[in-house]
Amino acid sequence: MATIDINKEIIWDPKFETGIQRIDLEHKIFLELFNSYRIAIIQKKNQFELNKIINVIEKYAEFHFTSEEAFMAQVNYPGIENHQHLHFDLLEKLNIAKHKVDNSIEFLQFAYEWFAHHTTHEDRSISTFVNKNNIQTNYQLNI
Amino acid sequence: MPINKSILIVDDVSDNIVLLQSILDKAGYNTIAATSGIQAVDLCKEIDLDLILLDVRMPQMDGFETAMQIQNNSKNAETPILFLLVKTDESNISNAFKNGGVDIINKPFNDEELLARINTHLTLRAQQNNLAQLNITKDKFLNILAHDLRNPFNSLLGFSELLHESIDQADLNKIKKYADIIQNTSKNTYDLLNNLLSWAQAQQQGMVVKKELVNLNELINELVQNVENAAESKNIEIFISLNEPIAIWADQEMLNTIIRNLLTNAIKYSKVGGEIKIKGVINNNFAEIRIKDNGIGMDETTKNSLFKVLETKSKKGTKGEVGTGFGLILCKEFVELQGGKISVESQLEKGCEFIFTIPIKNN
Ligand SMILES: Nc1ncnc2c1ncn2[C@@H]1O[C@H](COP(=O)(O)OP(=O)(O)OP(=O)(O)O)[C@@H](O)[C@H]1O
Ligand SMILES: [Fe+2]
Ligand SMILES: [Mg+2]
Repeated sequence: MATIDINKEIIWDPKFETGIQRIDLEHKIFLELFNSYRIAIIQKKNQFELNKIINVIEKYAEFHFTSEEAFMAQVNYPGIENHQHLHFDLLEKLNIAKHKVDNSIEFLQFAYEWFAHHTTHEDRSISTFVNKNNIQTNYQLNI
Repeated sequence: MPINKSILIVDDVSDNIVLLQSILDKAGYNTIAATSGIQAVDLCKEIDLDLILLDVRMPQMDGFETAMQIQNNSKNAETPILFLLVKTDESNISNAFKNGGVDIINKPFNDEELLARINTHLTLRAQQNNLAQLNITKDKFLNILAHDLRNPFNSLLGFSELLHESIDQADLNKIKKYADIIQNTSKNTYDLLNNLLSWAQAQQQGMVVKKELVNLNELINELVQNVENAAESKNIEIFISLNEPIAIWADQEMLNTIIRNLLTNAIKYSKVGGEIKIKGVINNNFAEIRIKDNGIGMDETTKNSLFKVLETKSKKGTKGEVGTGFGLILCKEFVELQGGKISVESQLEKGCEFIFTIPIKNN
């Protein structure tokens, strides 16, 4: 996994693409938040300010997982239960990581890898299922 | 700072345990960890806990099943259980309270909130315990009012009426007899009332230990002198052996009550010509005092009911001496208030030995 360069913008990588509009859109917000955190580090913001951003990342992760689980239910994705458990594990890991944030760059690195692993592995299986079953996912169909 | 509160943390992920332990240790709690439900249930049979943090998602036996087993068959059936659940785990969250939890700790959590919730439930538990204790006190109080204080009044009223009639008849013999009965009954009832009030006061934590440097040798000599008459009337000899001068930091009044009660009992339940031995030694920062008689002793049932406030009974002495059945209850209360322990060794017809300890230092 690539090491984060604190001075470079964290950008969208095509390998993150699931092809499901809603999910890709939500995933992009994660990168926005990581960049906010990165810039706060460069600006030497204090721990209190950094914690606020961590808090936003945490709340957003909760939102995104709930949203993704709702999507899986809507398309009758068979691996939904297992996937939900992976989400639980991710939130537990995030909890542990946020308590060890004496090194902010380390937390950023953790968060990025956490995200990348989640999108390129677990979420990939959702898009595989959607494509194989020819399920249309767009805004007109409200999914 | 939480004093000596023990919290069990149950989670299959050891990183979660390490995290919780570091937060709780820093806050001053004693923590114990288990990595499976089975291990937790076993621990709960052995150790008295104040609170349990229990992960729900665990392989083999989940948190709900674990809670049920803890609450069904262990000494921690009443210990508050807080379930650890991921914030988005809606279905388990809605079931947590039905499965024996008093609260939920979300993962991810925030330290202040975690500690505040734990503190709230520990406080609630302590208040419940206090209430239960107070209820026992109240029951006992009412019980004594209903029986032990009512009966003497029957006899006081009855005999004062007889006394009145005897005065009319100018029967001096009867007057003297009834006056004696009234006098003795009043005295015994007054003792009971005093003991009852002291005990109730100690129960309500209204009793403060006033420690001062007490010379045990002097104190014991003095108390023995006070009971000399009673001892002589049964021809009992009292031996004191303190191999060294013992000075301890203790509450003199309480110490008086303890030793006086034990000595009085020893005399009361000794036969004519008996022997009482008082021994004092220092043992690991504790003064240990033993009061031994070779009197009537007691059976197992009596022995097991000693020191228990709901089971107090009073037996007449070898010369018909009456008591209130409160002496040993007060002894136990006063020994424990000062940080010591009291116990008894006895066999029927073989005499009794009461042993109590008091820490010698002032802390
Ligand atoms: N030295 C002893 N030998 C035999 N039995 C004893 C002895 N000390 C206590 N007991 C038993 O324990 C019971 C409880 O003792 P306790 O001192 O609490 O009450 P009491 O002596 O009956 O009344 P009080 O002390 O209030 O006058 C006694 O009634 C007696 O049956
Ligand atoms: Fe996702
Ligand atoms: Mg007594």
